[in-house]
Amino acid sequence: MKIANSTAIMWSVAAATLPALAAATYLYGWGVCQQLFITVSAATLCELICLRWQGKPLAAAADGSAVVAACILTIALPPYVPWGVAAAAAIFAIGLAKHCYGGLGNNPFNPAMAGYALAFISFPEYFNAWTADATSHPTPLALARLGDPLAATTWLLALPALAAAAGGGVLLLLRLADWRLPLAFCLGAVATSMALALDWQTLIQGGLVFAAFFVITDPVTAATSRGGRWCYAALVGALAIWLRQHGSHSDSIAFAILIGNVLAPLCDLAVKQWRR
Amino acid sequence: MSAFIAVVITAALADNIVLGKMLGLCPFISLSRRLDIALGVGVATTAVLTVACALAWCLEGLLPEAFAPLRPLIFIAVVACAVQATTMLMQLTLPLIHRMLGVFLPLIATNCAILGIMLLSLQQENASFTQVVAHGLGGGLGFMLAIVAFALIRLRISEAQVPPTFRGAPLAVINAGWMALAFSGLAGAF
Repeated sequence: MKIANSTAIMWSVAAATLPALAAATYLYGWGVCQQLFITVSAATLCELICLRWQGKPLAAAADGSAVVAACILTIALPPYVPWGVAAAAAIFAIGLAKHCYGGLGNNPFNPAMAGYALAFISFPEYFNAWTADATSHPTPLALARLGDPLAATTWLLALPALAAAAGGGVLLLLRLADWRLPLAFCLGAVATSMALALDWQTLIQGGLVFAAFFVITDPVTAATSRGGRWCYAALVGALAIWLRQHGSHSDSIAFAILIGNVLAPLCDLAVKQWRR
Repeated sequence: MSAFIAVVITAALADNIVLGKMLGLCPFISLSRRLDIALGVGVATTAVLTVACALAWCLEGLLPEAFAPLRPLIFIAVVACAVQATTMLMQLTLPLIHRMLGVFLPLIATNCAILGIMLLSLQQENASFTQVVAHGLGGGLGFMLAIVAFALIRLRISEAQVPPTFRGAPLAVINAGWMALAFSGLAGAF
């Protein structure tokens, strides 16, 4: 089966994030669903306003790209951040990262990751506490960094990764995503964590698997040539692990992706020149 | 040698002069419309900066204490000399690139990123000669990386149907902001 239409692709990607959203709801409670409602509403509203202001047909909002960005954002954001922060991240994503550049297909930066990173920089106090139903505890990643073995061994940590892989696997089977991107991303991440002598469990923590299937595979912001894509995705995978260990932010996949977006055209050019 | 490379990488990526310290934005915005010009300016800036940092370190040792407030002025003169030397060298060895860069080559003398890196690298306590040169080389390479990546992204979005309000400079500034946000993730990483 081959799905060609971009609207159908977008809605399939949105549907494929559902297992990951369900796993997050199971782990962190109904806050995730609230968050999803807030981000989807804010993203859709912003999309409609931007389309209206540019004099484009409002029906273009049905292409599903805003919903996909909102779903990815919901997974990335800590549950129970104030609704204003979630809405601001969605508005940054749709307004500043997508419509300033002329809408879907033109944005050089992944909207969801750009919105997340800008919200992270703007409201850092909300991003360091992940609360699950009133019992507050630091993020599993922060615990693992401190060397808490309990946090690192609990099977619950593997649940979001498995759910994301289930949804992402379907995307790959339907050929909605280029398989080179997740593969190169994982190779880069595994090679870096081996070079840094990290526990293999760090690879399934903190949304790395989700990013491998849903964020790095964004065809608009990735490199365009085949060789460039290998280079781009491996670079992002390596950076995600390196920055997580040595960077100053608690999790850094969003920043790794954005740096990858900055360097994606350079990857294309470098591969082209090297082949010559 | 590994210390030299570490300083170069830190200066180029984590403390990127354009995207981290927001210096040298004029050439970054105005000379990034074409890839070949961006690359030429990047190479020339790197060469000038390395030479200027070496000269500045030598002068710093010779300068009497009373002249300390005049350092920026003296360094501007040093940069101008380095630019002149690079121009003449380029004219002799790479006349093609020299002609291509044209007026942009002397304009490097007024690039605040160069003066900024020189002053910052000499600010460190007991900076050694190799450290200062590595800082200059890394800063220049960081400038080159930023301006070339920016030129490529501008090339990519040049075909987009950008809303009229954002066309040209506004989008360039927004784009530079996103790039700076991305590079802020590298702070302290090396």
